[in-house]
Amino acid sequence: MRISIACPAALRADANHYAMVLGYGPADARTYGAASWQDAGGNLYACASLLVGASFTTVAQDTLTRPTWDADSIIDMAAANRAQAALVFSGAPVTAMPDKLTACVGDNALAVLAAMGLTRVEAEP
Amino acid sequence: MNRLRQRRLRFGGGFSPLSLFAGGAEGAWFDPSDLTTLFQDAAGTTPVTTSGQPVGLMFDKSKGLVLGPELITNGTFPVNVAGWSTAGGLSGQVRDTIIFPSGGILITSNGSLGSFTSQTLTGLVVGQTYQVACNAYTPGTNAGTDTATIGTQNASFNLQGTALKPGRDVVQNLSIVFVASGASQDIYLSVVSSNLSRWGNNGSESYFDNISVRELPGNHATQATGAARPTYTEGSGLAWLAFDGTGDAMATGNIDFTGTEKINVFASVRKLSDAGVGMIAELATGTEFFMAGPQYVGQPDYSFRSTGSIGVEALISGFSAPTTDVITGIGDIAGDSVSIRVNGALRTTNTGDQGSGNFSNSPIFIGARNQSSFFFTGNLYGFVARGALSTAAEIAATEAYLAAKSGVTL
Repeated sequence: MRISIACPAALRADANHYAMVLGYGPADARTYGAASWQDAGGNLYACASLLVGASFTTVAQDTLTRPTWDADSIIDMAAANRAQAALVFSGAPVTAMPDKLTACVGDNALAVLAAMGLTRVEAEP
Repeated sequence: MNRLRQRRLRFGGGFSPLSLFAGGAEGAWFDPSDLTTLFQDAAGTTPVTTSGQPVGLMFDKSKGLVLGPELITNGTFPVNVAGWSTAGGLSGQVRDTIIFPSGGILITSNGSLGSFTSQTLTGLVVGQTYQVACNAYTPGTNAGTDTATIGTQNASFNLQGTALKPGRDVVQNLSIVFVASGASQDIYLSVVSSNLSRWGNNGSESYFDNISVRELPGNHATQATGAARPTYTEGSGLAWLAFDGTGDAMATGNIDFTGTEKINVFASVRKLSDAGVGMIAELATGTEFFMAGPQYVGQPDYSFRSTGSIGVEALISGFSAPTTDVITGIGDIAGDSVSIRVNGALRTTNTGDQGSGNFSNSPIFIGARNQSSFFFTGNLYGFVARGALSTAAEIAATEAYLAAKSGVTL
């Protein structure tokens, strides 16, 4: 299944540590990039969308442990736990919240983000 | 040119984009319909095998995927283990077994650092891609999940640099790719737990044979971030990479276009949204060439921009998403010409002053600007970038080839 996640700009650093815990390596620190989406209130979000296995939601909400690849302790586990504490998971789109990491299931990422009340704020090249 | 040749070029019969690079032009050719070129991870350890899997590595076919000369010394062990370190658990002799009857090596773990052998390669070219491969065998009698790995890392257990298959009692093929960051690189064969968290238990074994490291020429595209990988997708007899418009992108290493101020870019895409700017492909970041769909928010357009010291674009409207198209961009800095063709027809040419200079030695980003903004929403069926102008026949043949890949009727 596909989940699309809205990460408030202020949570981005924590959420990228969380992404590394759930991911495969240091490159997952780039999961949440520029905060180029906004809600109706003008709050900014970085968004990501990815395909996950059936166990992902369970693992994501379980006790976090440092992955074996992180022998150099580049992950800030406290930050990852803060992001996990802010996680709101929904099987259907819900409105993005400026103090929550809102993750929603849906096959079409853009449609899900729109249903979460988000629009792009990018300029033009 | 005889009539048969003209017909083959017009309809793409027998044509391969590889011919565009026969004269030595730099560039890249990506073919998502060729599963042998796709891997789920950036290190190339896990092939893409079916629809719905992420793509972390896509081989460039512009150099023909012809492997370079063998760089490993004594990788088949016909007589001895010369060339391999013996301090880390290598038994120190060839074992003719039923597993590798013509020779192989056995590593027996002592439960700590004595669980590997290695060989140092020299003379590598920084930035070039190398493919590492071997046959490996893990006995079912091993303790726990202990298994065979091949990689470029030692004690850090970096998954990105290690290939392993947890299967037991069967000879398996392991492979990875790596990009050289220096002139030398150690290659490790080891016995570790399948989650790569520790060395193998005392007494656990792994057999290896046919170790090979060879350069894999090309400007391959990667994506190391899991959430940013496009999805390999099949349907209606076609295959494509799906870019979700929120973060999916790939990037090549640097491609040396410094010898040219002419560029030809071809792509077959299905554009699924006009809501935000979609960067289909771009050299460097905003200062070279790009192909966009759309370029302007909410507009049903495609564009191609070519930049010497001044950026000039060819922009065509009238292509509302969803739409499947073959797009061709042609840029000529010195000639002050940039054109865009869609579905086999020239749509517009802009002869504005592009200033001067050649293109640079930079990555091509696919699906976004610098993997960080202007995310393209849609499908990519094929892509060719060539650091030279193409003839009319070459353009027609390439467009026909990409039309067939995307189901477009020209």
